[in-house]
Formats: sequence, structure tokens, C-alpha cells
Amino acid sequence: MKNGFRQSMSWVHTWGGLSVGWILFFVFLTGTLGYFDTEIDRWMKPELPKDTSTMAQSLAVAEARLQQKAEGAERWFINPPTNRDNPNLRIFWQMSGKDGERGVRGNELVDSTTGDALSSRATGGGQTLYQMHYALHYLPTDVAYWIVGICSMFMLLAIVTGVVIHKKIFKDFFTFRPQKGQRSWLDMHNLLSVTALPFHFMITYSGLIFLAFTYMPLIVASSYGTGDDAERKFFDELFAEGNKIERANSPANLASLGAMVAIAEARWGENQVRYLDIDNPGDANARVSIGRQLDSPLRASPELIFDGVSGELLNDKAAATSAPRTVRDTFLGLHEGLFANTVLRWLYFLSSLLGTAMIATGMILWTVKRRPAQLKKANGPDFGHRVVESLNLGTIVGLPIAIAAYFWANRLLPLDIAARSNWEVHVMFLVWFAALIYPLTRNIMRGWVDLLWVAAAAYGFLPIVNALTTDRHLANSLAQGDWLFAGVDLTLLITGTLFAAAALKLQRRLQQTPAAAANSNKNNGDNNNMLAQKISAQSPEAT
Amino acid sequence: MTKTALDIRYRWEITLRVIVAILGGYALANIAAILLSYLLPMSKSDAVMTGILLSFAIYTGAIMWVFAVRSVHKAWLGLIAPTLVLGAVALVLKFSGVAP
Repeated sequence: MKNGFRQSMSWVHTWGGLSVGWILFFVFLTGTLGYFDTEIDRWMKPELPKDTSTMAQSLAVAEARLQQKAEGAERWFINPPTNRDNPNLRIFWQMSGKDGERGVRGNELVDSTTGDALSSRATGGGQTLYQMHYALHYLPTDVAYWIVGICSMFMLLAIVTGVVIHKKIFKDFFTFRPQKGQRSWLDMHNLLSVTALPFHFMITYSGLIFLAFTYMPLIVASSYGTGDDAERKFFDELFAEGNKIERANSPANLASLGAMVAIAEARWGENQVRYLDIDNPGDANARVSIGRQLDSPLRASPELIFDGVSGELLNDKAAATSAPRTVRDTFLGLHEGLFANTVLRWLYFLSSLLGTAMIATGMILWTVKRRPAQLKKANGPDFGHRVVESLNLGTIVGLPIAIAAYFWANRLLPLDIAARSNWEVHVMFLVWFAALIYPLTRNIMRGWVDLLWVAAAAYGFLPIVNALTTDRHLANSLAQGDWLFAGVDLTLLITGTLFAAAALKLQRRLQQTPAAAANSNKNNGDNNNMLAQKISAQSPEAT
Repeated sequence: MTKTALDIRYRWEITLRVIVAILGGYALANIAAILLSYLLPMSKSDAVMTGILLSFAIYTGAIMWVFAVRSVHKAWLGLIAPTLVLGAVALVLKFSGVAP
């Protein structure tokens, strides 16, 4: 297209990246927070107690509660509080439906000591935030999936073209030229991209694979035909779901779950039981599958299957399957990172933040590169350039502010208002909207300083809001060794501090600009002075 | 040609390439994956899964091709020709009963 392969790819990288950058930033940032979805959930439900019960206690409580809520159900499911994803005992049930229809379902968090259902404030929690990274919000699911899919495809293209246009990928990695305007942004963009390149590629490709059956329906249809039945046949074959055992319709008592868990723990070790899945409880054909904790990216847990009436171990199902399915599951398992321990989880979080910052620096680079030429125009920068600059600021700083607002809303909205959890999300998007509009009303560099300060305050004061509205504040959680609450509060404080540092740094540079502006005419084109030119050209006094 | 005429032509070419890349690339990725799923010597569901896994890589390659070649004609021919050929082979396989 242009002269030479690399230039063409550079064009694709620049314009492809710009066109969907803002949505990708949203997807990456909300997805990053998803690595701490359970922790955010718990922080947003401060009423929930910390579960310290034993396995035997939780099992007894869960069984009694299920017996009471869902006797004669088709399926019970118990998540004992043995891992990060389930800090509290969780039960789920599904009643049998009539004529092949799906029966009524329900789920509950249960207090393992009292046996009562746990209740908390109505909140979207970390789950709503995390779901936004693939289902967005306010949109029909299918539409959202397609938008995210198209943007992910652009991301994949940007990653591949980014590598192609990078002649000296190794040497450049060790190059950083600070305080040099455009070149610094380019170096930073390279550094962020190359550091976590395998992660960026993995997360993007696996993201596409997650919803591949939505994006590429024709490939399945060409072998299996169209319609729900054809699709079900494909999934049954692919995932080799064994036929579920039919009800005998003669009652029989469920054998001791505790004894089965004891067998499982004898094989796997203590606290290695992730879930109990019980088919046909109370029936002569009851089956109990006990799943192990995830310790690898393979999503399927190894399972032990027991006869639910005699309590006898029937078979030992390994997790591995056919090669293509294993590739798929490994990609998805790597994307979700459910198997990650605390250290690896932080590494996931940081890599994902690098990805978010990579997108942000790419977008900023686009404007910084064009700014000198734009400022020379007689009527000031083009409208399009202004829009990009404003969207950048309104998204890169505005979205984090909006997410902080979501947390503020969680603590400050009255507990008894209707649709409370929806209002948390409305607050988030209203604040984001305001942050998108604000840059249009202000000199862009001043706008950056303003919003960075707002972000600093929004995060910095959150632990204080938490202290004023709950008793699980930093002093208490540190004293009690509650590292989850302390961790969230400290992370919020650090985030606020970083925003404040950025605001302060930018503010200092803007204050130095009158002196710099005097020199800027002598050496036009020097990137160091771009900021100064920017101010003088855009501030009202200059026009 | 005047400068504006060149400019307009350039914009048209870019628009055309974007359309060819997105739609043509999608078609090629699907057709290639379908043919793969017919030909791979593994069980039907595994072959389909393999096709799906590879389709995004094929799509990416196709888009890069469209923007890499010098002329627009070559760009869209280079996408449509293999799509038609592979599609014809897939149809033959389907209707001859070789493919499921």
C-alpha cells in the first residue's frame, strides 16, 4: 500500500489501534480488575463475615440448608469455603423441570456457624465490574459480544503488526529516553508492549476463543448444521459430557458427604476439595462428584465420582481430553487465571495493567506525534484532533475516576433504595460521561492536571469513606490481620498517590513553560518544547 | 491529476481496502477453517474445534495481506480467489459425502 511492507503495517497499527483504542482501554482496565473480582466483591459487601468453619461444619450446614430449600431437587452444588473464589459457603440447587424444560434454580451464601442465609447490601460488586470487560453494559449481550470481538480482532492485528514494524525489538527494549516528548512516549509504548508481549498475545487470542462459537458460527454449522439441536450435539461431542444418570424415582437416603470428602482429601490432601456436585439427591440413583482445586490452567478439575447412596467410589476422572480441546481449555484457563496463587495473581494483575498502559501510551503517542503540525495551523488544531485528545483524557483518566465513583456509590448510596446495584453502575457511567465532556471545555493540558487531581482524590479518600461508613477500615483490618480488606484499602491509597504524583509532575512542567515558551521559537520542532507550544497556542491569552 | 483528486482517490482506496480486509478476511478465515475441519484426520468435533482455533490467525494474516500489497486489485483478488477455490473444494467434499 505505502512504500514497503513495514510502512504499510505501521499504518495499519496506527489507525487500527486508534479507531478502537478507547473501547480496548475499557475492556483491558475492567478485565484487569477482574483478577481481583472476589476481593472487590468482598470489599463491596463489608457485612459478610469471614468464614472460619471446618469442612465438616460447612458440609453439615450446607446439606441441612439444601434439604430445607430444595428437597427432591435434580441437582445440588456445594462450594465449601476452601479457596479464594469462595470465601463463604455457597450452595446452588436446580429443581427438576417439567417435560424437558429447565427447572427453577437458586443459590445462596450460607453462614457456616449459624446455618442461616447470609445477606448483604445490594451491590454489583466485583462481578459486575469484571463482566463489563466482555459484556460491556446497557447493551444486549450479543451486540456487546460482537463489539468486544471486533475490537479484540483489531487488538490482535495491532499486536502482530506492532511486532512486524519493530525492526530492533531487542535493542529498543533497553532504550528509554526520558523527558524527550514524543520519543519518550514511543520508548514507553515499546517497553510496555514488549515486556508483557506473551501476555498481551495470550490474553487477546484467548479472549477471541472464549466467544469463538459466537464469532465463527459457520464453522460449526458446516459440519453440524444450524439450530439449537445441532449446536448441542457439537458441544456434547466436544466436551464428552457423559449422559447424566436418570432418576430411579424411589427415595433413598444420601450417604455421608463427609465420608466421601474424607476419601478425596486422603488422596489429594487437606482443603483440596473445591466443590461437591450432587445429582438426584435423595433418590436411589444419586451421584456425587467431588472436584479438586485448580492448580493448572487446564480448566477441568480432576473429579472423583461416588455412588450417592452406598457412598462407594465409582471412578476417578482425569482432567485431560483431546488435543484441540486441551489447547482451548489451556488458553481459556490462562486467560481466567483461576489457578493462580497470590503471587501469580499479582503478576497477572500487573501484566494486565501493562497492557492497559500500552493502549494508553499508544493513544497518547498518536496525539503527541501530530500536535506540532496541528499547532501550526492558522485556526488552531483540527476538530478531529481535539476530539481524539479529549477522548484520550476522558478515558485514560476519566474511566479510573468513574470506577472509583462506583466504589464511592457502594459506600454512600442509601442501603434501602430500589435498584441500588443498578444505581452504582449508573453513577459510574454518569461520572465517566462528565469526564469525557470536561476536556472539551478546558485547555487540554490543564484538563490533564485537573482530572489527575480528581482521580488522586477519588482513590485517596476511598479508605476514609470506608472508615466512616463501615467498621472494617484500615486500622481494624490491619489489627485483625484481615489482609483482604487491608489489601484493597492499601491498593486504593497507592493508586491515589500515583495519580497525585502524576498530577504534581505535570503541574510543575506546566509552571515551567513560560520560561520554556520563550525559547520555543528558536528551536522549532524540538519535542521538548511541544508542551510549551501547546500551552501558548491553546490558552485563551494567546489568541 | 490534481492534488485533491489524488487525495479523494487515496481515501477511496483506503475505504475499499478496509472493507475487503474485514469482510473478505472474515470469509477467507471461515472457508479455510471449514475446509480444514473437513480434511483433518481427527474426530468431527475436534476437527471443528481446531478450525475455530486457527481461524483468527488466518483472519489476521488475510488482513495484513490486504494492506501489504501495492495495488488494490491485487489485494481483493488475492483474497477472493483463494476463498472461491477453497469454498469450491469444500462444497465438492460436502456433496460428495466425504465431509460430514
